[in-house]
Amino acid sequence: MFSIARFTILKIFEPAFIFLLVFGFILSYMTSGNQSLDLSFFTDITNANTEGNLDIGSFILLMLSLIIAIFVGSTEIPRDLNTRMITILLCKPLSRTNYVVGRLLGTWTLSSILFLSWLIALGIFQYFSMPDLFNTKNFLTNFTYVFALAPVSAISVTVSTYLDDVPAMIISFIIISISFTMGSIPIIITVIPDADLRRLVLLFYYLLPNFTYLFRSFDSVIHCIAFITYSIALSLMLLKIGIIHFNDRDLC
Amino acid sequence: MASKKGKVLQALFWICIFAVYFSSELILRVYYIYGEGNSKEQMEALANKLPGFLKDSLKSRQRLEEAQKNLEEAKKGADKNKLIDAYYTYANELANDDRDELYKELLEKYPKDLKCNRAFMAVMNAGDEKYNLDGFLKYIKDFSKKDKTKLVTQAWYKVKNFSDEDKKKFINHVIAEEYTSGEMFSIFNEMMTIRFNLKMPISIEKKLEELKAKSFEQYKRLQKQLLKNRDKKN
Repeated sequence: MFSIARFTILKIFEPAFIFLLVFGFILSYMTSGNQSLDLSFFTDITNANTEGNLDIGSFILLMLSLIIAIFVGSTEIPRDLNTRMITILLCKPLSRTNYVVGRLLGTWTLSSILFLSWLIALGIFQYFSMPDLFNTKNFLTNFTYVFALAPVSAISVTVSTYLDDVPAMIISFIIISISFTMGSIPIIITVIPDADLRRLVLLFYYLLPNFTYLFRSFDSVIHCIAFITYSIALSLMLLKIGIIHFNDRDLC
Repeated sequence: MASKKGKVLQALFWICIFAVYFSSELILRVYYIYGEGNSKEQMEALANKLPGFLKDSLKSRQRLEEAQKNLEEAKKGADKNKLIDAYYTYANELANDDRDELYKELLEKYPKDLKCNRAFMAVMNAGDEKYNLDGFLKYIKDFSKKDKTKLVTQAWYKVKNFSDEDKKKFINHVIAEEYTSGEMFSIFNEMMTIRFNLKMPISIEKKLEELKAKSFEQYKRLQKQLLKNRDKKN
């Protein structure tokens, strides 16, 4: 399982990823002067703490990491299937479950390494160029967004167990885009008078992750822990769907 | 055996994952919707941004929560009038069944209070063991004639849908107590029709005619008074 993960992580040494890494550093430098980011288009409906922890720099870097997680997560399994690499890998003492979990771990770790590198670079640039804008608490809190990459990786990997690489990428993008609009559902649930309808909406709501939670400031430690556990539990549930399908799938 | 144990462990694992998922999601949702502390302001702001049909629903929910809170506070205090008002305000926000439950709770607390008449009228039902016609007659027994007349007028609109026995009993009570008022004028016509249908003695018809005539006089005085008041205003 960890060999498969390592297999994915080593992609970071490929020229495209080195270029991306450098591009991220340049972006970090360019955006290090901007502190406040109005994310009200995601959270305006509640009118509460709309700014969140993310400044414009970390927000762009997080988005870039999400795109990489989708890209890597959606392409790895279909490519192994198309090149018959999967038959070689599964000849080893490796179960299909471990293979899928390894791919997820690899995707998550790869996107996290990129995100953390950029985030640290952003912090350094901010600290040296505009020390008065640097906020240590926000800087440290932003590290927790690594956990936001887990469900995104899980969605991509799960979708890629069903589809070929390009359709998997498109569908993953669509699912994740819809997940960014899920913030209105908890509000709607609070105002629906009919209990049955409320349950139905809630059921639909539970089928997708609510990425609006990513753009809220963490008010307390409990809030932060809830965010981490939510991301991990959600990733595991999504991954399970992928594993069940992959175990039953004809790989020829 | 090992496979069975594995399955049990797997099931336990998934139960834990689901529990963690739902509880953490709930915490995040509560933070997301209510934030910390200033939930009232946030909900106000939220209400203003919602489309009309959702705004009304949210506002009514807010009113309900506020009324419930006021009632809880009033229950802790000693002010009877405030408590009764809080009961009515909260009841207004509830559905019919819940409202009746709340009214019964109020009547249990103050079974002889005139201010509870609205609650009594709401829960009064022919099939109810306590809040039926007999209960009503007991409830109004100690009130002044004026208050009794008002309550009897209100009660008629319910009693006329009760059983024949109840209707007879009510008409007999009205005759015995000789209630008359401007508002009761039209009610006597209905009572006379019901007396005819129920084949009650003709003497009752005469008595009802008498009371109706008296009520009519009062009705005319009431109309004159109303016209006078209107002229004064103009």
